[in-house]
Amino acid sequence: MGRYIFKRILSTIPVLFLVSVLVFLFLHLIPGDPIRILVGVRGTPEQIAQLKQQFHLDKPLPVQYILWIRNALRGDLGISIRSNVPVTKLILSRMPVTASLATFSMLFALIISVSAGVVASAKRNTVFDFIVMVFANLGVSIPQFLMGILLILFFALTLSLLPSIGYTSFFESPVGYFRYITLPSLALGVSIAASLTRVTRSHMIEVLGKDYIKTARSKGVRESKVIMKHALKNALLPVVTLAGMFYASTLGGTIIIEEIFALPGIGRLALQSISNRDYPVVQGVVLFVAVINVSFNLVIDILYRFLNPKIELK
Amino acid sequence: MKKTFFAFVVIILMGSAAAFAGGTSEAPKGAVDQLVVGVAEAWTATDVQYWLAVECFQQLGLVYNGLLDYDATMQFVPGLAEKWEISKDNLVYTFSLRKGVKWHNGRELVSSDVKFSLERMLGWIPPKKEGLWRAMLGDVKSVDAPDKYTVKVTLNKPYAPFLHGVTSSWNAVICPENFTAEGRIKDNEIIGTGPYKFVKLVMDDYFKVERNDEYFAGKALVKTVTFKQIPDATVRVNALKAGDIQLMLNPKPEDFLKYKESPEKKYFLGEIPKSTVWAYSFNLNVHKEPFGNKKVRQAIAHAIDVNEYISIIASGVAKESTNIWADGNFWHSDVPRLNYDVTVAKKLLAEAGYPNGFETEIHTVDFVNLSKNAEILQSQLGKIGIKAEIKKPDFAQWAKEEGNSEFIIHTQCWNYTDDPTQHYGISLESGCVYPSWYGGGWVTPEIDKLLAQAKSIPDMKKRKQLYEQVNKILVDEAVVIQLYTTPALYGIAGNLKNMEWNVRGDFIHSLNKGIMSLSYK
Repeated sequence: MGRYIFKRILSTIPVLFLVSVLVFLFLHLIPGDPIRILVGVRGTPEQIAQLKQQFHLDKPLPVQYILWIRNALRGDLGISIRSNVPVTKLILSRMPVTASLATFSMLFALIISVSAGVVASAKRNTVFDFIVMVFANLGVSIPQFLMGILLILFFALTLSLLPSIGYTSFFESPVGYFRYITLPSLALGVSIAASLTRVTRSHMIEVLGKDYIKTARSKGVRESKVIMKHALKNALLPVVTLAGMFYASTLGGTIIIEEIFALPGIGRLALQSISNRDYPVVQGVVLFVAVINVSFNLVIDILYRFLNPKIELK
Repeated sequence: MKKTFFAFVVIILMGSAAAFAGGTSEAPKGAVDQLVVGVAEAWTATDVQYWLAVECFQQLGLVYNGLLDYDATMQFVPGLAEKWEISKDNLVYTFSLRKGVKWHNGRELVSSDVKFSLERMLGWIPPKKEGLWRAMLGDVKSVDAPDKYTVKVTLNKPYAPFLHGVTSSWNAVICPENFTAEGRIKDNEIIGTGPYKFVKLVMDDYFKVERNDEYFAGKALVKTVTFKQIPDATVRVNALKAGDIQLMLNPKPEDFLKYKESPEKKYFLGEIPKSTVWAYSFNLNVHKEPFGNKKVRQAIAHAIDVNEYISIIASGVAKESTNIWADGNFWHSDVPRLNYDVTVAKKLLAEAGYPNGFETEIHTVDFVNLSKNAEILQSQLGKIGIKAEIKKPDFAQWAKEEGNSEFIIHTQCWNYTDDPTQHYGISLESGCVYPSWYGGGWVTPEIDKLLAQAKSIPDMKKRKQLYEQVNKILVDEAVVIQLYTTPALYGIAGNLKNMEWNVRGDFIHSLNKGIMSLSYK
């Protein structure tokens, strides 16, 4: 097992290396000058030259890459050209917002999808199943920005129940924290819940047709026990995998939801940094997102190996 | 089991509703405890002397003061200096500071602080880098602090806009303790003398200030002000409607028309009278053929129907202007534009040797109204046979190309400016800091002479006449074709009153004065 984990960790190194090279190259290939944006239209050539030197932008690209990756390996992702704040500090300051959004949207999605998917599969081809599938298809089809706007219109503007924008830390105001995070989490969670419901339902139907389920039923085991204990446990494996992937991608930031609800998360940081050509921040965010995704995949693979020792690394 | 489950769900829902409903309550009477303002622009830095987005200046305007201040009619009134004298030769300015003014760290403001502030802007002390608005101070020979409350600035030659330079929000007096020995502003610290003290800045989220109870000009009514960054104008309006913010800046014109002032409502959107936020224009590069030919430039000016821009893009919420100030502003001049006449435009093109038009490029970007202006220009030029291709790089590339004059027809915009020197002095004069604005580096001895003269005369009315002459030449030369100005629009909660806007049109100044006097109805 230890050998498996070691091999798996080793396999992430080339992925991260490739990501770092690609993001660096593509970012520098896009036309645009971060220093020109920083100094504005009134910047003098001397100011521009001085800032380029300060951020090593006057050096050849390979040298810039080596300097960046060398520091990144030491945990230093550089300084933001726009705000002059260390990139690591910027990412860490945005992380609680994005992590809260990812966690609550996933909790909401899992509660809805697992319960709806299980009941729909147990009551297959009934009106309930039909309604669940209609809602699941709707949830997948409605874009997140539209869902966000609809939720704001209903809960904030019509009912005046929840705030339409903003964020406050849990430690500053626990009630405020939940009030602010609820609507964006719902907006994001609906589409995740819709996808997970469909997956839960289809895998439950598949498992419910297996021989061991028939055996359990013929032995007189209660239907609720058959579903919850025998079927759900086995059907959940692909659901957990998919949920993990959704969670990892949400942790990388959700630009649209963060923009609509004015949340200072990773997605907004990335968006603003791209338009400002803030190279160190964009590079740092992409590398950070890559590390999260690779780590999640690693954890899921290791969990799989625990759950099913037959899985081998080839 | 089922009953227990449903009871649980009902309890959870009721509990959530009770907890969440805490956000909506009856508005208290009188003083405003917390004001949340929705703004669009992100913070770029905290050093007031260097590059900051316009809305950042607005916010910092609550923390800082200038040596002087303006009243509603653009006259100078005391700021940190209670008196000032100008020598007969217009070379020496002597300011007597108010006594007992406290920095937010508790120390008294003294003349050496003002000296530090001016010398840093001039680039004489670390970081030895000229401030963005250094040009507003003119050719300074020396800055002296002969005693604790007197500051004397000596110029090498008369410079009329100098008093504007020390009054402008961009040239606020800064505190030496706020900067490191290398001249860099310290992290998470902004010390001023203004009506509000800095509390916290979270980049791309909010900027919070609290009332300075010891403010020399009297306590503001609003206790804390939080500027919340909400980039999207529709989201800002929704937040106002939901009561999450009480004041917002820059709604879309269509939203402004929809929710125009209606005091009985929970919220309403208004326009600051005589204000200018953006002045839009087209800039023709005289170094790219055929725009070196005056007849071609005039043909383009005659092909432009400004009303189309105002009605289609600005929903009618804009004013035609041949200069960067809206009608009603002191510096605005009513110089008529080259009238819209397609026949004249075609005739001029034929005389210039282009009877069938020519092909060209319009350089634009998705920023405020610029790309929309480009689309209308493209269609209007088509009517006189000019085929214009729209080139639309992203903002970063656009800014770079603009800086290097890499454009043929450039769509541009200019923010509100206190004094003409701030505009012409850095974009049109010979040897100015940024020579690409007018025609990709176009200057004439005639304009240079007029601008030099206007800078040396203290009399504002005489100066205005000289700038009007400059304006006439600019319209005739059609190097930069001014289109229209957009006013400052805002949204405000219906339960607030006393938002007194300053009529001179400075959005920053107006906002700050307005915020200080807000109270509940």
